[in-house]
Amino acid sequence: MATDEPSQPQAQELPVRPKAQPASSSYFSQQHDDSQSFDIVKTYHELLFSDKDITMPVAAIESLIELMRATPSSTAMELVEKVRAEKAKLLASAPNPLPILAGADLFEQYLLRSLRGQTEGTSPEKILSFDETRQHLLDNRQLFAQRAKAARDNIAVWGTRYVSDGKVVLTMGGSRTVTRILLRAAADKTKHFKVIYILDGKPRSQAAADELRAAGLEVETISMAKVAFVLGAQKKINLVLVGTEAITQDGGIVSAMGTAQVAALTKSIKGGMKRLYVAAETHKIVRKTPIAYPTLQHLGIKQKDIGKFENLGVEITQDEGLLDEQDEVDYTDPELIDGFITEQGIKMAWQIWELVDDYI
Amino acid sequence: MAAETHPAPAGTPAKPGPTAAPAAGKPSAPATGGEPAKLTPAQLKAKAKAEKAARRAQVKDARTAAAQVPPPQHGGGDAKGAKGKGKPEGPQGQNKAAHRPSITGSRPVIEKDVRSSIPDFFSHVPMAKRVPLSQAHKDVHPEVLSVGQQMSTFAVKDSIARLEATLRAFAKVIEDYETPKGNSLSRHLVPHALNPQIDYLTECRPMCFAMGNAIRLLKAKINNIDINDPEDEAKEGLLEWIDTVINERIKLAEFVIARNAAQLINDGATILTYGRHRLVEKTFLKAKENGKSFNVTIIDDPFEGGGQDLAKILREAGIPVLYSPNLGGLRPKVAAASNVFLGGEAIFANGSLNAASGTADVAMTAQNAGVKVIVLCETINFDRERVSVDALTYNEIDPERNTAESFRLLYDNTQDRYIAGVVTEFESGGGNSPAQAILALLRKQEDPLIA
Repeated sequence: MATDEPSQPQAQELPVRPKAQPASSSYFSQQHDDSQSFDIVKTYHELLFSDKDITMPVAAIESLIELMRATPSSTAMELVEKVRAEKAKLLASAPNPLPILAGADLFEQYLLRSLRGQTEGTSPEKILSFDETRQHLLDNRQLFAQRAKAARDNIAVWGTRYVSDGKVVLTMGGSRTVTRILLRAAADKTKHFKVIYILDGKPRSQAAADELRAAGLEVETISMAKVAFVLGAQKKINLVLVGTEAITQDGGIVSAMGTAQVAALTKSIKGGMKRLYVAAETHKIVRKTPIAYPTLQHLGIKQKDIGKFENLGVEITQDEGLLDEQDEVDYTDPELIDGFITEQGIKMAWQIWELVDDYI
Repeated sequence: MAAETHPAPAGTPAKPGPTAAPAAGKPSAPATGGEPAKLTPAQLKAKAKAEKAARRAQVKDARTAAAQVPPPQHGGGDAKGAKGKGKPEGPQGQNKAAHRPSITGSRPVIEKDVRSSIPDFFSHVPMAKRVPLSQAHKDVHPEVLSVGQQMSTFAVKDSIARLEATLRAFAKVIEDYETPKGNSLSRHLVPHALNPQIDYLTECRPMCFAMGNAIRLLKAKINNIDINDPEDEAKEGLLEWIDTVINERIKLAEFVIARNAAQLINDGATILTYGRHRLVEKTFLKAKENGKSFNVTIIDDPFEGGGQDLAKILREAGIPVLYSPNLGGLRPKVAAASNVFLGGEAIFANGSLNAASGTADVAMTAQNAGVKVIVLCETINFDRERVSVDALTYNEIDPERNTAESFRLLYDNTQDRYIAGVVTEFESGGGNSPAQAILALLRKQEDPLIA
């Protein structure tokens, strides 16, 4: 079905955070007519697979909207219950639930708020009925993805300022946001900079490095083992730019394994003036604060526990439901992060909770 | 006062004997001419400063005495008068202190000024004080009298225990209260029935932040009562409200915090705590009840010794405990812990924590060792308006340890950067948030207790 230009009042629009209005285009979504056979986990993975630009939180939001489409519910309460149940199912299916949680929480908050008719600035006559609200969400499903993409463009605009002429950017992880920033900066004729890409063995890192090269940037690739050496030896590095999977409330990040290492080295290696910035959309903020030890376990991430010393030199069967080694994540303390480049501007780590507060 | 004729050195501004003289009343006494007028400006300044400190102490002491002996003018009985500020007094300023001795004879004399040894610099820091029952204001309710005594002797000590005792006593006050003819409850109750109680409690021991918050809410609640409401109904409503506060803000909060915090304890963890705090104790027991096996390291407050009791309780519950009677060897103990759990008296609007002296040392050491500090605190303890960046703005002097050589402050201030998260009963903020996040939410939220 085609979505029209959103005709609803501004206040009713979906709260993926970019304030800029993205151009709405027609979009044909696959219909899940059979409500009984709706599988949220499958839908989520289909969505994630079908669009390589989509982020995990947005895929989670879209699958929840698909759920609304597939399951006719007559009352608001029924709908909320359903959404919560399926959200829990989706979360349980993922060894790293944080990105899904970020999106699903955002959607749930929005849903609750619109069902209560309490969206800010809504005058009484504009309060929509349950059916209208539901229909509105369904009609505008694609807006989430569009806004997320617009957010990435916005981040590129902000982030370009942090790429300095004559300097070197150190980056890793194959983040799409980071790539976008570097490509935009490369298009700027006044900036001549070079990139050192840390390759961590994942295809997406190599692909990102290739993409940057194709755009005419001078890219040098190094292995993870060389990070300390390069940071110490290359005084021209003034920016370390990483992406992330999730931002925690306290301003820390849960990101691809190795990020914490690079962040720690950036802080501790002397020589030159280096800043670590994280480029991420605000919809990646997850309402969790990692305060209990061990951090990742308490965040609900299931990955190999090194502390168990299970690796005895012989091949043992991997536990089911754990993250693949290449998808493992680590937690970077806010202390090590100089700032976040978001679509809402540059935020310090301590400002993250203010953004969370935005949508509660 | 003889000492006042020459610049008094800091620390001895108030002489034991005359300080007890009530400042109130007797406007007739003229300025005594004992003051030589040939002091240098610097001397004058020093003298004025010393006198100010002395006056503060005196005003405080005088409150009770003034209440006992009806002063010549009216109004001494109500709350405003008891504050000793707005009263008409004869000569103001320096002369006031100078002429005080002339009226000493007729008043009861307290033998020893407990604050005499406190240096000027700390003169603003209040101290709990045993107010003899005979000197209490006549309007103070017996229930409040006993609560006041318990507070001044630290039998009721931590903020929540004091809050609960206060609320229960106030419930009695409201129960026994009858609006005089020609008055309305919403106008009369606070100034004539509640304020004397509040003043008395404050005098026994400075109010804690939780009490301040609750009393503010209670006053707002009373103000909101319709003048035309029948008195019985209004009183019933207030008593019900007090019950709600006790149930929701104290009992339920304690349960929720213990439950949430217990979830943060992992099997095999070592949790370090300082002194004995009710919430931390509840959390450990809850975690044990949930089947977690973990160790506890107790760093005791060397002056309070509550950690010993905590150690016994935890041992009995089957939790292995490492007990240290003081802060010695803090660093390795903290570094070995998985998390540090601390309780607090209050959290300020800038996220800093007001807690038993020594808490800040533990928190800073933990931060330095990379161990995250979790603070457990009910939201009633949050001060949304005030900030604190040092331990001197809001503190108390330990009345038990206040000698000529030294004195001890009860609390210290832990800045928010040493605290990883605060567990409160307020959950929609995602449970365990930085203190500032919770405060932001609290500020945004209309307090449900007022409406």
